[in-house]
Amino acid sequence: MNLLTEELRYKLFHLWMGAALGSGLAFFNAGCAASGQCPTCGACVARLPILALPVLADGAVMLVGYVQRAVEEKRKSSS
Amino acid sequence: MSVLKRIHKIDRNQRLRYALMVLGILALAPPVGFLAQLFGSSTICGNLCPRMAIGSSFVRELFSRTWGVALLLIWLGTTLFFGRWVCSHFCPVGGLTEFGSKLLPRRFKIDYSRAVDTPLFRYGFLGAYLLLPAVGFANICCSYCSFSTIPEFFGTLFKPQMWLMLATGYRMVSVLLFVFVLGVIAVDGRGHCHLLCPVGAVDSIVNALGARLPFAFRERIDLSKCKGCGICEKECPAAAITVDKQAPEIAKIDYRRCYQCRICESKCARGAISIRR
Repeated sequence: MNLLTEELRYKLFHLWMGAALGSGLAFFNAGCAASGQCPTCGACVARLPILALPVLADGAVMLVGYVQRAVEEKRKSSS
Repeated sequence: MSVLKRIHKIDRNQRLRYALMVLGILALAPPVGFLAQLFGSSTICGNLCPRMAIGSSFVRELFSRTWGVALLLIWLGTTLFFGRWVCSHFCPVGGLTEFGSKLLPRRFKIDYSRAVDTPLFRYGFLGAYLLLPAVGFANICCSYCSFSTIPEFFGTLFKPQMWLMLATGYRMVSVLLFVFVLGVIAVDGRGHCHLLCPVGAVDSIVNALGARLPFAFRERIDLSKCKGCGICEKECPAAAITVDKQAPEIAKIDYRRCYQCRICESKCARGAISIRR
């Protein structure tokens, strides 16, 4: 089960890297980043959750892994 | 003379692929771009762009840029039935950087396919590509798009008066990223195809789905001939083949990664890999 969560985390990480690069390029394309002229459209604030989603999912999977490990260790020590 | 000898040494499949790649470049990239010119553009970027046809703008594009949608459907249809021939044999974008990467010795190149989980990276990029404009934010097209940057860069090489343009603003960043970092210094010159191409991402999904159809042609391994030497695994530029002598299936192709370059077919001494149903 831990192997499964590790694999899932690895997959989420690569998905997130792709999404992050895509969002970064969209930033550049909108002329916000590196242009020095923020149009105060608020798009960056709304874009953040897109970047945060895989990170949150990664965190959730990591937590599940920790809990599983703790439960397994408890079981082993009690038996 | 030595060039002719080297060409003669190239395997028949690869010679056909290179010939079709040159045809694709002549058809869809400047300075010739004869097919693109028929549709009122000088490159694949413009009226013929299949990338713009993906995602939220599909319906709008269907009516305003019909040829781009048509090219995308032909591209995906070919992939479904015959594999990724358009990506590997005809796409001028991948072709230009693949030829460019041959100028550099292998030891200076980066193997992106083995360093990163390329299908997942590409799907993440595709997700951002589809989601961002769908929720009302800037599109990644066209300033930071390989379909616009690479053919334009190639076209600019023939116009010395335009060279200065490459050193300014976003064009410099996109040229550095797509032409050099993900192009010329990638092992097969197709780092941008493996990581950042939305058409390639959709195409790879169609390729993987099509591989399950009994009538679809794909690069397949004849397990009765395969001895698990691992040469195909080593030579595959997309890291699409895994060889495991302990597994019941000695060699396996990951169709999300495979772009049908046919290098494995050329390298296999036992002739175990071929395109078939």
